[in-house]
Amino acid sequence: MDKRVEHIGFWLGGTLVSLCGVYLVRVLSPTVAGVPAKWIALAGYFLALTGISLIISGIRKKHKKEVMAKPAIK
Amino acid sequence: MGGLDVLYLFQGIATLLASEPGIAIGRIVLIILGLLFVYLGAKGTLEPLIMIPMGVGMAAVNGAVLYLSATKMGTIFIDPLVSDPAPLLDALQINFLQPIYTFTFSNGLIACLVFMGIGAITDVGFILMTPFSSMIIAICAELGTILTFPLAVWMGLTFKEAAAISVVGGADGPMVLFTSLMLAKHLFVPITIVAYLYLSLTYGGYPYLIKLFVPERLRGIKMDLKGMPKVTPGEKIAFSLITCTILCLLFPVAAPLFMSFFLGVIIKESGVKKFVEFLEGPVLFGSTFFLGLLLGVLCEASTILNPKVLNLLILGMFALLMSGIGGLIGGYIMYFISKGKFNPVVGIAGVSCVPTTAKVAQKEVQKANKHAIILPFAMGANVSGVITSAIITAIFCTLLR
Repeated sequence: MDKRVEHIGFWLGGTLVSLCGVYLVRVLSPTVAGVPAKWIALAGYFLALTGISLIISGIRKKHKKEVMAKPAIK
Repeated sequence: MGGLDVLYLFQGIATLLASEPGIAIGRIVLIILGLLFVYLGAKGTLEPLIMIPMGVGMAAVNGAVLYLSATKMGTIFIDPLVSDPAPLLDALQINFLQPIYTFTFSNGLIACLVFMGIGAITDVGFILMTPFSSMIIAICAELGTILTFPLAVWMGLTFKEAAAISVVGGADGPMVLFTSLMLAKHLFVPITIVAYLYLSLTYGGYPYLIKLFVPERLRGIKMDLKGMPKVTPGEKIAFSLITCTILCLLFPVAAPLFMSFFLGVIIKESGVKKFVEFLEGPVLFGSTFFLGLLLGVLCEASTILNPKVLNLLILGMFALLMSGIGGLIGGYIMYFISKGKFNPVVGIAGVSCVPTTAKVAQKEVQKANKHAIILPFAMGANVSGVITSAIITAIFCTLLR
């Protein structure tokens, strides 16, 4: 995979997943009545936090790779 | 001289004699308590930054009750209950602390200022370096919040009051202030005082909790710091911006808190020295000083003596105790997941009293093993705890407001 895509992929992916979660909570859930609305909102919150987690794990993975790539000091 | 009424001259004593016995005793107890807070704060047993101004305010306001008119008693410090425009305008011109109270307390600004300062001394890099353990621990450290809510409802508090007191479990002063102002304004004085009182006790109490639940052998576990990645300031800024925007979109009610915290973080990482100095100096310490002073001044007997205060005292202590235990459970979960490589004491730092609990964890670990450094992991859990507490506050405010 292109290195640049690899580097910004998790930023874009995570943000998009989070925004999907926001869409479910703030836009879709208020238009639905009753119990499904609550489930949609819950799924939205989960998705939003998952997106943020994706960004965090992406940053961590990227830096872990860099640490591993460094030659060991003898 | 014959016509001189000594009690009229010393109105503090005259009002003490003229008030109901409950209020009079309350005033005397609160004066003594104020003096005790100052003593314990100066000695370092309690958090001096909050307790010294709070104690002075408490002792002074309960001594300074006077006759505002022939029948009405009060002080010229503050009137927390006034809200109608005309009396409020009068109060702003008479009570010397009223402007600070009206323009920073009742709208939650002071909590946001403290949060901005906390943001400026927080490094989100720690949570980015150890996200998995930080999140698990932070979620476990909300045990107090989760358990206190139903307990408070069972003890007769309304949902809003229960939410406000259970946030004490998050161990984050500004968050407690914000939630109680949003959900239970009539109880915000006792709730915030209980919170700050207990928060200042965590420094002294949590080490005993650690010793009780973690044997010395485990307290001395050395953690691997070599494999820890370094996160760049640019990544921290981008992460803070995205997280802040997403959280504000999800929970607009708590957006002032999120914005304040992440603004502090972003300013710190952007390296604008003058702003960093301003936020971590005058803003943080100035707002902490006035927070302590106003909390003390709000402790006037007739305002604070509420039948629910005893319940709040019990619930506050329960919340913090359970959160501490929950954090340590989180530490143990990580210890087992990592097959013994993770020091469970880090768990106590999940209680988001930045940076007190992280320092407590490091101090206790170093007592068991001089060479063990866990501070980066503890700070990760600490920062994660702040964000988790803010999310829980936001959930409460969104659902119950």
